Amino acid sequence: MGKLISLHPFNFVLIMLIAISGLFISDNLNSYILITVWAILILWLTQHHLKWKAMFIFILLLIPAIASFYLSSSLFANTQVATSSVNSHLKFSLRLFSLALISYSYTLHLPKEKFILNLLQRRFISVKIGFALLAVFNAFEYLGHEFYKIQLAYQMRFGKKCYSPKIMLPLLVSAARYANTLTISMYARGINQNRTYHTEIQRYTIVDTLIVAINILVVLGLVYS
Amino acid sequence: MTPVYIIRDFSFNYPNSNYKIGFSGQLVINRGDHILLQGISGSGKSTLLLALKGIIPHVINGIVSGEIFYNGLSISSLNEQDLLTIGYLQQNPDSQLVCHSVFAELAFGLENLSLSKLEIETRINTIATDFQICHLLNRNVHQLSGGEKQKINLIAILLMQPEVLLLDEPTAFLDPESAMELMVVLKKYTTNMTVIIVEHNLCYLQPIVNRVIRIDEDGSIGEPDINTVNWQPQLFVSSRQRLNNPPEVLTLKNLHFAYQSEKPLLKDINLTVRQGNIIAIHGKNGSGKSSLLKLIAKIIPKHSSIYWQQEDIAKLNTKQYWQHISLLWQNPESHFIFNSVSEEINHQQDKLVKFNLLPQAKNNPFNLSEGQKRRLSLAITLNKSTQLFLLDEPSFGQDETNKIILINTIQQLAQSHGTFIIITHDLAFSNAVADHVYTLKEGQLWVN
Repeated sequence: MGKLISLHPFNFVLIMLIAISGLFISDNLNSYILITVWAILILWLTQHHLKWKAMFIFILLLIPAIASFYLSSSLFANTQVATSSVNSHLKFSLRLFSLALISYSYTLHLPKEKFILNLLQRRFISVKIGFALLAVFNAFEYLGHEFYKIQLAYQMRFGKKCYSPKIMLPLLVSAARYANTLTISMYARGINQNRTYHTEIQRYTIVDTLIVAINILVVLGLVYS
Repeated sequence: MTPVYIIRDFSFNYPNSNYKIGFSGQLVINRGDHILLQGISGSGKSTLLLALKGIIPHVINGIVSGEIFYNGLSISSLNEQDLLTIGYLQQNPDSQLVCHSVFAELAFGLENLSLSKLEIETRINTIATDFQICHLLNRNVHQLSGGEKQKINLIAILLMQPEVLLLDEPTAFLDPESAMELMVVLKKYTTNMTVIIVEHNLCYLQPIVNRVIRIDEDGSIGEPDINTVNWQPQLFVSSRQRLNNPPEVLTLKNLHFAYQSEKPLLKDINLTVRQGNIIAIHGKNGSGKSSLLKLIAKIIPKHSSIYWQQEDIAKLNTKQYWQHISLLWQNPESHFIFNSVSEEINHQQDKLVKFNLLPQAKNNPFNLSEGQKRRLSLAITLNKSTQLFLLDEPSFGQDETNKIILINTIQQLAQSHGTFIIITHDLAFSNAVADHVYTLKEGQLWVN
């Protein structure tokens, strides 16, 4: 499925918050499922490439945690205090699952650079904090490469993989050094609050408002139907 | 002549560290000077540049004594905006990049100067044509090679039209051709600027430098006559005895490689490496040298193209294969795991002496200077009793003395049956150390 309509960066957060609010308001197993499906459907309609693989791996990782939550709550909950039934444990577990999946999926697809630039250009956050956040997102890629190299260097040197937290030491130092060099680089190029931007502010249009309104209506419908 | 900088008995103690850098005497830098700052590895050249930019004491706090005056005012009394007339390029090309795309990166400094969108675009397009980087403007900065990144960092600074330019090893990650290009453009852009360069590759600097400042081991600052500088230093080492009819250890047969959906990086590469050989490979930034090293090290898996002692490495157990090889990464910190220099090399005193690291034996590896870190990572890599050494830029950040030590160590290991494949931009180093020098060009290996 191609991109039917493009989402404003702010709408990633707003739609996610609407879906999460729906999960909190609702007390119905079916609503949880439908709200999750709706949230993912919106992503599917607005993204060129949905990161199915990453989402699937996340679900796989989530299942044992949710299953243990379900088992522990159904086995050990005080049945006299809590109005416990199989259904209520299932509801709690599913709510948690939906919450995690929706948050993860929207964060994964959020155009982070555009989102922060929008916040910066509208002066919602200070320039120093905004660019520090941007740098953190860029640093993930760099640190990922670094960690891979550190692991390989260790394996070649000692003939085995390192499972000790000590392997994190070079990475932590690398991260600190990265932050230090970057700070110097930003400082040296005169970062300041009165800066201009070479890109136009991405306007929040009536269509974007409409998308949010539709989402509110749909989620409310799913909660109270 | 108007003095831009006056440096008087300046010293600096890094916070929470015993590392102290001190310069005795007075140094005057005049407007329009193009200075080469020389000194042994760890003598504090990079620290001095930080102080000249005002990062010490404004960003890095420590104990400062003495004074640095910039345009007649103490540098500690100047604010961020006053210091914007000083451009500063750091050593590490990766971690200076703030934005995601090349265009945004170049625009970052200009946006900070509050220029209009039109002005920003005009300046970027003009300089991109001069530096021949128009094809890079829409690329992700993380897809660039080390040399390309450094070029972008330099251009981002030049765009801000500073009065003073401080460059910390600008050519360290560049291939000779790119380094020469960089120097030509630098010369064109910096005629009215004051430029201070820390650089070990002297061969590129002769056309732009008009003064040489040397920092001695004791911190005293001297100014040798520019005519006495050897701009084309040759590394003289004694010739070694070659092994007689050594066996083949590594063979590359019609090696072809491309990253996903990209044009081929390596095309039909054939190479036979014999035991005890020292092979150096040059090539432009992004030509695929590091990828070739990763393929040989089996970090990137490849079938039926690379043979270790006549066996396809794809069929060999990776763990066993890695017992035969030792790899030096470009970033030395990737090798450090212990808390002291001495621990990293199993407390071997002779190795500490050999690699000039004895005074730093008890220091934390991460607190060393860039040159010292490189020597330690080399000591770690060469300390493994193995057959094949794959070295990525081993001479980076090393002065002449340390390069000669390194060459001698490599040659001794080659004599005792070690085989070397070295990726380097350092022509003098490769000419001195290698038996065979190749250039990787348009995906193919050419004998020099």
